[in-house]
Amino acid sequence: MPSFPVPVSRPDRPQRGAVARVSDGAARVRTCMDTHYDAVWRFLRRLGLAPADVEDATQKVFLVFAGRASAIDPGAERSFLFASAVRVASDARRKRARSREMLADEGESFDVQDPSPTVEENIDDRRMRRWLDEVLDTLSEEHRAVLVLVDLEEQTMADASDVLGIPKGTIASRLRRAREVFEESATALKAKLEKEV
Amino acid sequence: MIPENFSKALLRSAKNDVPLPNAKVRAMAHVEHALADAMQAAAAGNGALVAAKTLATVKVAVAAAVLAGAAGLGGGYELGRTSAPPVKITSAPTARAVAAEASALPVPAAVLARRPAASGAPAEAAAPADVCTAAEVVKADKCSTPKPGSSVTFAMKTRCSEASLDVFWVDESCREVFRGLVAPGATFWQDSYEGHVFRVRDHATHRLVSEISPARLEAAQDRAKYWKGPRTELPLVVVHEGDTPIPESPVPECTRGGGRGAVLHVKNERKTEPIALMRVDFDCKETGHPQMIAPGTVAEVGCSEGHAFRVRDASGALLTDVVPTFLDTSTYLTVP
Repeated sequence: MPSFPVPVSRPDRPQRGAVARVSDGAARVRTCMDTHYDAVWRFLRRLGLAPADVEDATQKVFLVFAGRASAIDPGAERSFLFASAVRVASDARRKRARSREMLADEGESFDVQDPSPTVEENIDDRRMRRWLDEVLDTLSEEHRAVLVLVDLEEQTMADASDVLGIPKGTIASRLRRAREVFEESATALKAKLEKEV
Repeated sequence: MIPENFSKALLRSAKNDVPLPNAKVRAMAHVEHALADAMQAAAAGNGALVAAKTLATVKVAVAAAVLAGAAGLGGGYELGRTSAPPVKITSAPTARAVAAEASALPVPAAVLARRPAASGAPAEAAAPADVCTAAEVVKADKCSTPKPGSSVTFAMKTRCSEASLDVFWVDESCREVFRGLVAPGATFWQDSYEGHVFRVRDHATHRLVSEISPARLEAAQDRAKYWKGPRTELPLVVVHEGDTPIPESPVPECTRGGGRGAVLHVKNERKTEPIALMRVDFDCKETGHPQMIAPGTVAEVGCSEGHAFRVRDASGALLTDVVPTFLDTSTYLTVP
């Protein structure tokens, strides 16, 4: 099992009252959610969370952020959010593995207003994303996190190093290996699909 | 059609993956609800302070509110997160919108401090602790029908006194999709359709507590028609200079679900003193998001027909109650 580090934070800061800390956090949480919600959601999704779990997990990430906002340096929000997301995703996967219900690979969140299938224009995209997840599933958690951070979320290796709390050299080697596995799996999947066609 | 450069195309496809349109709004409302409840709990200086300090997970946020006996998170989740359909969320104010409006004026501590306990508080009404833990496990084998029937709005009251419950919608593929968390003794409202199935599970253990498929009341209107058109203008509420506080009492009516979008105008005719508009939740508790209305101004509040409010003065004294005026045709259920 991977051991992900504690997110970037400032535990050495003087402790303040709970009310003040939560209050301070509210404004930053709003701004942060506006800016980073989609990225965190997408990151969690690509880390392998089932569609039904992603929204909950994203909320959880921002709740963690809200609770610790006063200890996070300005500018370090994205790193903190991604680092929390890695841990939340890991927890969610464990919980999902323990739960009795198994979700199918494909599916979108429930929408009471319009439960009809997704419009045709999106089908190609959805199919590609399902294949993407299939390929990503062949990576280990460590390799997957690095690949998603760098190649999908366009974080630098330095950022990824901060988020995952591992040296840049390790990031580089994991990324190299992750890309190799990804390419191999994608090629294998393509061959399989072409055969089916 | 499989693209030539398959691996690159796979990576590119991820860029177009976005959350559902209302996901961010729901998340914001949910997080802010949790924050407000945690602040309230912390301000109350009771046992929830510890929980608020470590506000880190949904469970802790819920614990903070529950321990504080503050705002009903059941209602909060419902308004802000997943239990209300998107159309309702856009027409009704989110906790975020309310908080943003309220932040323009400081909320006097007295307003929060003088709120009375809810009538029929969950802890009092709830059954003994073992009702949920000892409930016989029902067989979970139903799924929602692909073509659902008429619209139905249901209110599910939990008799659990300790356990929080998770509500899942069982889709037509029989997958469980999380819809909301219900605090012990709280009420959960859901707009749905006949033929849709919901499972209720213990939040901590994931143990199945109940499986429900709410039926529509005969008198219930079809939401597809009823919710169409402009929002209902609720009767204007005016607070005059000379209005004196009324005796403090339990909330006369709880907020109810199923109403169409509405707008409430509250006029503060006082020259110097602001007033506070308090929302009442599904369990008759005033929520922790007062909207302060400056002297000489009119506040426009987006809401739904079933919403209830209280108006308080700057000292927290009760001035008036605003009760729902629509015909409630929801289906009421008790779980377990």
